[in-house]
Amino acid sequence: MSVARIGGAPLPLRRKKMMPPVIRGLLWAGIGFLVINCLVAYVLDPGYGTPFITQPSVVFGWLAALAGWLLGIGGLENVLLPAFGISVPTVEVPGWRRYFGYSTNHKVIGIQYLVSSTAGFFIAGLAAMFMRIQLMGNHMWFFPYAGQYIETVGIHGTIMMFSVGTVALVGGLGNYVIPMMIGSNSSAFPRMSALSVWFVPAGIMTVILSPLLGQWTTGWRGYEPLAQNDPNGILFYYLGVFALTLSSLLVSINLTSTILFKRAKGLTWNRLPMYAWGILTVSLLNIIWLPEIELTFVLAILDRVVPLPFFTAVGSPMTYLELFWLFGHPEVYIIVVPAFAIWMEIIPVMARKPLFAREWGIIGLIFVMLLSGLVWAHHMFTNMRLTEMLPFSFFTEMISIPTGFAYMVVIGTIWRSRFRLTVPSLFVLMSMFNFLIGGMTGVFLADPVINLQLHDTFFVVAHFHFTVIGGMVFTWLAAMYYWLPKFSGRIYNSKMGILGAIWVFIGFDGAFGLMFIQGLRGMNRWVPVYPPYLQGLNIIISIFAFVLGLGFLFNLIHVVWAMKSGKKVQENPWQSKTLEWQTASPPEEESFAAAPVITGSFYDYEDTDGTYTIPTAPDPVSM
Amino acid sequence: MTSRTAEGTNLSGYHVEIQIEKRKMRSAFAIFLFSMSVPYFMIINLRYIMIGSFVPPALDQVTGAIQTILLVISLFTAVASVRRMQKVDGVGYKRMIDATLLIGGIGTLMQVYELWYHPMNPMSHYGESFLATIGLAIVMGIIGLFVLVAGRERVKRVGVTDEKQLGYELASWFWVFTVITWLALYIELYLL
Amino acid sequence: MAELLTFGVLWVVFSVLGELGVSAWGHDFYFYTASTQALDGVNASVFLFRFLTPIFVFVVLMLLYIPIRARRRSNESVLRGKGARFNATYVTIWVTLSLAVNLLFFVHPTTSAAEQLFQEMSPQATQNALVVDVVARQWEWYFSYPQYGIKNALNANGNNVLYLPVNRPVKFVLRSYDPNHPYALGEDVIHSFWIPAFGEKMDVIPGETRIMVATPTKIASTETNPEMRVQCAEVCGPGHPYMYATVHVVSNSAFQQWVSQQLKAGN
Ligand code: HEM
Ligand SMILES: [Cu+2]
Ligand SMILES: [Cu+2]
Repeated sequence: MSVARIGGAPLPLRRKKMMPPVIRGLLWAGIGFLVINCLVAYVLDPGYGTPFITQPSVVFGWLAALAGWLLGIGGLENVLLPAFGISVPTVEVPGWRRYFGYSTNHKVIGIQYLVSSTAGFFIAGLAAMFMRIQLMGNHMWFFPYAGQYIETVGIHGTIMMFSVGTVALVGGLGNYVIPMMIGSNSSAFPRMSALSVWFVPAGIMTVILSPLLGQWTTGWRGYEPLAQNDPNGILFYYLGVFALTLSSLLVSINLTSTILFKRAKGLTWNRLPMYAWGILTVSLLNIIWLPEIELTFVLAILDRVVPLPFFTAVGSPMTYLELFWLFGHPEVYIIVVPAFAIWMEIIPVMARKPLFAREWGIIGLIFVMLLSGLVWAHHMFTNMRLTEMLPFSFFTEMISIPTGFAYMVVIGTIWRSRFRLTVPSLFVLMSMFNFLIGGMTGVFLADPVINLQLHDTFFVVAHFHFTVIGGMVFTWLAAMYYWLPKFSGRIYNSKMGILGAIWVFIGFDGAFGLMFIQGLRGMNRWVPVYPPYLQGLNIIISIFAFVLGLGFLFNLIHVVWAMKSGKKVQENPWQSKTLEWQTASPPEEESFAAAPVITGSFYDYEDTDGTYTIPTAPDPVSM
Repeated sequence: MTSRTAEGTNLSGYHVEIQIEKRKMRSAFAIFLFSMSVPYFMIINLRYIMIGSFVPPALDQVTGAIQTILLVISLFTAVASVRRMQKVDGVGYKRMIDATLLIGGIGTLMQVYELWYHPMNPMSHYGESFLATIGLAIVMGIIGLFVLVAGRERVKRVGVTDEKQLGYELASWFWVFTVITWLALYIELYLL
Repeated sequence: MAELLTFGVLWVVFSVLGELGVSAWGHDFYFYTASTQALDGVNASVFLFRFLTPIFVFVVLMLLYIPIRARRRSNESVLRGKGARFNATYVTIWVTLSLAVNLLFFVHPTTSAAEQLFQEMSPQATQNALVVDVVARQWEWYFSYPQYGIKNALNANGNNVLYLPVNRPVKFVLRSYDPNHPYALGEDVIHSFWIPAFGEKMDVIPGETRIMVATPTKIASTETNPEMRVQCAEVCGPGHPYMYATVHVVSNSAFQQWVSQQLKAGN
């Protein structure tokens, strides 16, 4: 393409024009897959009749595709070549295009993570709607075959857990907010972070495409030895989860280092914001348990591809169950610990009161993290030795104590405050209510004798959705409304926000509250067909579920609308004291023009003393 | 006068920043290694869960011992490359990396040979543990060699500066990590 | 102070209402119970409900009442809340109580009910039990009665069926393999043997033998109550939803009659 010359202006430096990064990534991924797949399938390891895609060829082909995708997105110029000392001049494209490419700005990365998570949420949510449509009848009618329904359940669970639950509050909000909260203009390893976000769309796509390789019916837990007997789709479950967990692992290393080394002057441990504490604890869980599940999945892949007998019926399927839940239980706290932290972040701002018993809140987060590694086998009461039941039951019951501290702190903060009932605070209260139900029903599940009845029924389905949607998704919505002015300089419409909150609350508590009853009446999991006596209630549940799905859609549209054309607000509409609000809204390229210095507590609303000084930034909003 | 002091403080501020930057890199590297040691810990445990401490007599002890010795030698050359780098000696660093690549590369190739040749049935519990374990070592070894090659090319092209020094050192330390973890795996697979 | 008092009154009132609800409906928690083990579970649940009700009411009231009470009136200009950032009494009570309640729950009902179950499953308690060998395969349940020589219990349509006498402990011996292809060891997967009305389930693991003990207390069958059915509870492939069998709990004499019928049919 020629560059038009305007007047006598010097010709701008001609760069080879780069393809849009996403297109280039897709192209290179396709090429990588084809080349390596053919190499393995036809040359290195030709199978019987050399089918185009074999188990080994698809695994190696996928690895090549992932590499091609990451390099094409911008990893080549920005990471790989510089590592070899070859520097390529690159310019970040301005405007909306930067969100579709390699960017080292932590705010761009945060938005990229949030958008990927949201996409995952609605894709997996659509799958949930299909499931609920099928469950309105007690025989096969929406899905032709039962296996397709069960596969849909697995895809729903996998995408929800690994691209939403684990990602939205850590990779998404964490990347956006944490560096600003601790007074830094960047995260610790921006280049690593810039690349890690692109694992997420790759992982989601992999899981979605898994049916191409064949049906898998194990659900999100990939239970052995069923996983070995199923057709090949399960390979893309392993590989997709591998990509998604790798992303979260990199996020955790980055954010931990950010909190440890990028803090502004004066931001001592005593003053560290609660959300930063949440991210620190959750990162430790990620750093230990994500490599654990990754190796487990590599072994499961080897079981199929080589094949080795590790987890097959002649090996030790129980070992897989142990290894899965060793990760699996910490995973649920990976999802919910950041949510606890966000409660403790939003509530003092809305209550205009110092955070009550802050130390106990931190102790709670830390003990939840520690205990979460000791309870995994409560998922296995139906197949463990009787003598092993009680210790796991004990720790499971004990974990409710540090969890309760989050409630103690929040309630103590609201007590005798000047509480502002805004949309974010409404969502936080709803989240706490729903998580309370999730926790209380957990007490029943922790009791082995009761568990033998409730395990693998819809009671459990309701229980964990109350903790995950009730705890994490409601808090995610609270956080989106709370930080919306930060993202965009605009604010939501109060009436619409409250409508949205009540809408999802009704849909959610209706659908999943009734699922408890359905489980108690004898409805088990992973069944598209069931005895006729369960049908009536299932129809009601499905209707509530559709209400819920539309409610989420409504909130999405509202948030997006508010970001583009909501009412403009002042920089710090909540008069919050935390640092991210002391920047422009939306923040400039460099959040802080000069490094802030912290001189007081972020949660002290009793005095008007300064909490920080920001040397050359515009005056903070007076309080 | 004033400008000089300003410059002086700026300069020391710059040094402080580099120091913080280095501490950040070191600690992140430590976190990364901690995280990466989880799979090793698991795979060692898994072997004992599956088969106890059985070691088959058919195992090729000679190849195992030789490649382990080679890898240990490459560990020392890797440490030597770090020492050179700390003396800001790019040429010496490159020479030591060359030696590490050669010796470590041969060691890794011998591991590949063992994986290929494996005298025990992969359907046996020792066999599967052996293949998975040595496979892990090989994958990590290849990544380690790749990182060393990158360091070698980079030092050729851009040389050494105070800021860049640590990156080179960490490349070598990663190789040290792979060798030490291999030592643990070796003792577990071949001896205990 | 007045605030505390109102709160206290509300708490007591709603807790009492809740407890009345527990008394009225708590024993229907499982909807339908037809074994002593199910009753153990229900009793444990009712005990938990008794203690959890006031706690639940307390926290929900806190989440509802406090924010509304503390709500900032729109004409108030003060944007600053008052109140302590720490209150030793409140924290001490909270921590002590949550510890105490959890320790209590662990002792009773968790440990006590579990010990009861272990006792019911012990070899001494099951000496005279009816032994039913249960074999799970993809996707079918087989029942055989070694004490009576019934190799494969079938109903008139040729479907697998489980007949049990009432009020006699039954020891289910659970295995997962395919009796039609016993050489194909690699084909087995995990299933879970569940009779909703009996209030318990046990996973069936390839290569292992598991025991589940139940004492039926009601004469009923799948036709009279669909919770009285064998249902696979662990996902085991595309046929998982279809992996159920009918159950009949009958009187002792009817059971004997059924046994001789089965033997006559050569099952
Ligand atoms: C949009 C509203 C949602 C609806 C209506 C919904 C509904 C369902 C249903 C019907 C099942 C199948 C239960 C079974 O048969 O076993 C299920 C499973 C599951 N859901 Fe959701 N869900 C929703 C959102 C979520 C979210 C937000 C998460 C997590 C972040 C989540 C995580 C899971 C998991 C992990 C499973 C288990 C999958 C498995 O058994 O393999 N769901 N959901
Ligand atoms: Cu758990
Ligand atoms: Cu099943």
